[in-house]
Amino acid sequence: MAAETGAAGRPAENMETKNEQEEQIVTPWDVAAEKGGKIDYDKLIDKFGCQRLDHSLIDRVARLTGRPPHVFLRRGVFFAHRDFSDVLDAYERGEKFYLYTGRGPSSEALHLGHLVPFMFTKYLQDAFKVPLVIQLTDDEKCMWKNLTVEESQRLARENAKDIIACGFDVSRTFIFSDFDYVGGSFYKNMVKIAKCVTYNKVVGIFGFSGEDHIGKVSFPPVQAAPSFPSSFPHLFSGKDSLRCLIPCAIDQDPYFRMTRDVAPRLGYHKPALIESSFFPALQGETGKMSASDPNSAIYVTDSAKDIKNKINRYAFSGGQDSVENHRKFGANLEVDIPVKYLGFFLEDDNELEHIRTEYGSGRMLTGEVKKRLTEVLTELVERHRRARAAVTDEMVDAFMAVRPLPNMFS
Amino acid sequence: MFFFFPKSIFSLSALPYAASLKSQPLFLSLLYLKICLTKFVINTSRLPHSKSFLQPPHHNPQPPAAITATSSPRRLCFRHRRLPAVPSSVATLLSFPTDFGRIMRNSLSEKPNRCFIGGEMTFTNEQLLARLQELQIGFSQYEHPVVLTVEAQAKYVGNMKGALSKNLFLKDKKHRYYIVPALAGTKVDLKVLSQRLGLGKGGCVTPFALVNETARHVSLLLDKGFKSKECCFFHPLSNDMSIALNAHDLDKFLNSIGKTPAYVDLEATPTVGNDQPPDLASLVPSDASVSADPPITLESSKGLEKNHTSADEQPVIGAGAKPEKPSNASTKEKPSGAVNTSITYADPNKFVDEILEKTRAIVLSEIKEDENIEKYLEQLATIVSNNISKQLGMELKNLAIIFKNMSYTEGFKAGIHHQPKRM
Repeated sequence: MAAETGAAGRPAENMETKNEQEEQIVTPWDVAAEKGGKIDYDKLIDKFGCQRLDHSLIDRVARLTGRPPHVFLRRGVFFAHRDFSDVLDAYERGEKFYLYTGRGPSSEALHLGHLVPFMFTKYLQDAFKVPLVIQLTDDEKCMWKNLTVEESQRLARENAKDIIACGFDVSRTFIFSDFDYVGGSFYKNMVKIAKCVTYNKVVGIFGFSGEDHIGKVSFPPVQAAPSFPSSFPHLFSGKDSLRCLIPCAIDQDPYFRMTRDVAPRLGYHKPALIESSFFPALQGETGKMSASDPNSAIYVTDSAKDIKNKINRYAFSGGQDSVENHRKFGANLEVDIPVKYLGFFLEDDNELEHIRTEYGSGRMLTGEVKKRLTEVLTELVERHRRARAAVTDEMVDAFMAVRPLPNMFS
Repeated sequence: MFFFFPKSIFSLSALPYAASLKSQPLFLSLLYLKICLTKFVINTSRLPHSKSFLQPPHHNPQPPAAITATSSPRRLCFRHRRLPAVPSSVATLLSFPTDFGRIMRNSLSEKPNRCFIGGEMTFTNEQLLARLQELQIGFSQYEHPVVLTVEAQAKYVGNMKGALSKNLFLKDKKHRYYIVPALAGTKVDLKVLSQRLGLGKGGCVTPFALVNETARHVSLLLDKGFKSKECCFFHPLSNDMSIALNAHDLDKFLNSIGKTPAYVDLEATPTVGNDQPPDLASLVPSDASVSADPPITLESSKGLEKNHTSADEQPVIGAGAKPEKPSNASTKEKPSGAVNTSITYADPNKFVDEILEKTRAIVLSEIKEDENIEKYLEQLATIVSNNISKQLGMELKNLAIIFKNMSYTEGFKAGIHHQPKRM
């Protein structure tokens, strides 16, 4: 599964694009706003049929977990959900759930946008004290990106190190790669799921054509299977009624609509979703983050100098062209990237509010905002790098071992 | 014959300098060094050659006209400095001002001199040469007038076989000392060297000075060029003589006094950055910790945290805690006792909350102790303790997770390699 925010680049024909050129396009492979505009998330929610994450739910989370809600919740980064309130109801009754997220290991270099869902998932794991399974879809990348099996397995292990560096608790986390784990009960569920989805349906959802190889067509059940607890007999045996919560980016919604459709027929709870908006590229909302352009994103391997450079040179600014105009009119906060990034990563609500008012009114200049952003991101990347340095191959083996997790709910 | 400080002399509570330092045997010697070298200008090409303050000038047949011509006060290794007033009980030890004056005077006269530090003797030239002979180290010896620079030495021994050496005596910010003997022709870039040692960026010495106990904590970095020459000239403990020996024999001597010679390519300029740690960092002396930093008020809480967590968290704690401490809280002893419930240690978050609770308690209690400033500091206490919870809390939780993961991994590895009991 590609739990990637931002434009995921999976080259596949999409029937929808041919019909709806004027509207925005959001699919697992293609994200495009209306002509020259931004993504309209309200329209998206209506179209997909998911629900807004409103303040009452956020307060409820804070109450249930006994700690302040995560930055991403407070700032509306994770803004939509399906059945999250049901999960919270069950949690209140004492019924736990487990988390499921994943990554398509297509490249070694991770940028901050890739880390966003993992940072949020770590928060959920700590706040609710629930176990987590992380799927590394090396087979998907092998098929779609045409990598060799060995290369995709190697990338999966490398990405696992960065994921572990986000701070997951080994006694509550199971990371697995498809090439290693598919089989046994997992495969049984895959077959059960596959029997419930017709070819036409999968073509409709994912846009396969007669030219696509059969590997692609039979992949969706692989991504759907972890939503069901019986896929992990070493973890959840006997707990068929355990619910699943999936934090992901909103462009993955079509995948899980299919899974939710299948679940009742197999006798499981529908997996709940909590969805995030897209992480903007450095050049602005309209830009696309792409692996070929290293200046479109901040990578976790960037040095402090690189970060400073990238922000100063490439971050799209909403400030006016001259100081006088800026003081007069203020900045355009809607398109300003540094303020948006600060919205993701600056912990202190008051400080962010202060920056927004000062910058928006023109009293603060772009340089100061960029400087503050550089500090925040440098600290983040530095912390990540230190944690990454502490991850050994043995640690990856430990995380990926098929083992029971006692106390995963305590 | 080694120079040795009886520890009893060093009840230095009376000394102003020592008030904030843990008493150390090396304190005086390093203080001595520090005073000597405070204004030492490091200039590789014109460095005075092999003139240690430890070595006594030898018999001088000629008046040292050469010295006045080539040397300036700046080039001499020691300074006449006045120390702050010290109690009379230790005045006898601290005869530095008179020592300085005496050595300076003697270097320009003909009296043989021995260096006194703290009332004990150091090695003399004859003793060193005798030592070398004991160790069966072959060397050729040449006497000449006192020389202070490489050029001066070259005048006398340059026509003979053997490479000339020059010496850099360096001190870093943390008052650690390095002697860097190099071939006279080697260009040493000090900025690069300090980077390679992992320091920031900053004598007339001889490698043989390390024989003295006072130089115990001085790091020696030898130019690897010495190894390739058949023999090199060094001064023994006096600068009116040069002895030639080869690098192998020098090693023999250094090993005999318990110093491992470290040969370094002084001209290399490897990039030192985040990915490449300083390649010479292992050569930085680690014991010499005469730190003149004022006591940080929360050393006690830092100490407590040390009980629970690994050593590399210290810089994090220091960085977070330092700016916020009120300067007039006094340092207290470390409170005892770690909490020993297995639940605390299994759950990193509870573990960290425990630490924070104790830190907060200490901060509040220390601040409230001082009655006079209580009312102003009540508010400060709350702010400080809130900051601790927020910033420190985040950092410590991250570190605790890494710690837990590593422990689990080690257990896991042991488990999979576990061999079942053979019946």
